[in-house]
Amino acid sequence: MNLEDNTSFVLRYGSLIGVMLVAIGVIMHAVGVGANEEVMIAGIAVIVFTPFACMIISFTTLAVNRERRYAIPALALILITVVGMAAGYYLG
Amino acid sequence: MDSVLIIGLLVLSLIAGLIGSLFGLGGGIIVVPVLTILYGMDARSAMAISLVAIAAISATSASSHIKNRIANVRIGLRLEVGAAAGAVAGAVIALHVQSWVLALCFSGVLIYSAIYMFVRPERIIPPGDNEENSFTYHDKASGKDVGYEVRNINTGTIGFVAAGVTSALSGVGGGSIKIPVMNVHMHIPMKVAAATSSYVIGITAFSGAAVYLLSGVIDVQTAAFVTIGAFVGSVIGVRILTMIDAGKLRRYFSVLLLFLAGVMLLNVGGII
Repeated sequence: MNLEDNTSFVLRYGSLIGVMLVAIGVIMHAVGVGANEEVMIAGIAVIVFTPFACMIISFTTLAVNRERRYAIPALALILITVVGMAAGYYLG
Repeated sequence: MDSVLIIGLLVLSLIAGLIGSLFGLGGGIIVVPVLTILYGMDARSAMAISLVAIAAISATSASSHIKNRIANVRIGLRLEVGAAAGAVAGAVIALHVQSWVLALCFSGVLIYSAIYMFVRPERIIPPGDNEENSFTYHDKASGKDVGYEVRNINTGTIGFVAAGVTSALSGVGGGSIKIPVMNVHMHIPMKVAAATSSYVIGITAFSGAAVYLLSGVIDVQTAAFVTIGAFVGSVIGVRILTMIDAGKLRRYFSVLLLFLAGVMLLNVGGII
């Protein structure tokens, strides 16, 4: 498995799908179609969670390739990020 | 929303996306002040939208930089552990240290880095015996493959911890510290440093953006226009980064660092 190909694939399609949903939501809002805000929120959510999906894919690829030198930091990064997010949500 | 305000938002976020993807910065230094001062938005809402913009800029620009093998994903992931830990530490430090003290230190680091990067030529270590830390990227501007060996990874990670602490306390400073750490201290070529920073700033922004999103504090319409503008700006920035001369990029970046330091000092002085 190639780390760069997998990572760029997730980032490319995450950003494209997210922006397309946001744009569709904006057009729906402009023409007065209902549920436009939900579509925009879905697009924003896809964009926000894309880096996290990317971390998961990067870790998986590194683990499958047995690149422990980088797989362990990638796992640590995922754990710190999840803990930080949970702390921010519940304590913030 | 008024059409003039919408056009303003699109232009603002396009500029933020362009600068963000070209230099590997988040663009928060542009988005937050404009939304608070010109659009009358409160700081928390502006910060939330800024984080969404950073995620969009990062994903758009990093996908191209990684596909073109300019960004170094492995080194980025390893260093980002330091920044993530630093961000958590920053939240604790914020309870004990006045934010202006840190902003002052941060400005000093930026000014030093700016002068160093403007005056001293870039020092890239050619790949040597240490194969694990040796990498290559293709520079389209010069048409050459550039090999480099990454040095000082452990102390570089400490530099990223400082970047994490600073960005947690001040809300800016992720990329502006990470790039000098990579380029000056670790001898990573400027284009690789900027591209790698583009990738990791999305990871840094994720936690905060996700919390704001789940808490429902994001102004959806404003965030939508900012996202679209940032996306377009990032696409343009990626094209420029690919074609620009690395030496020029480094000099422009040092000027931008001086600007950021000036903004921070004015902020500390209560002028803006």
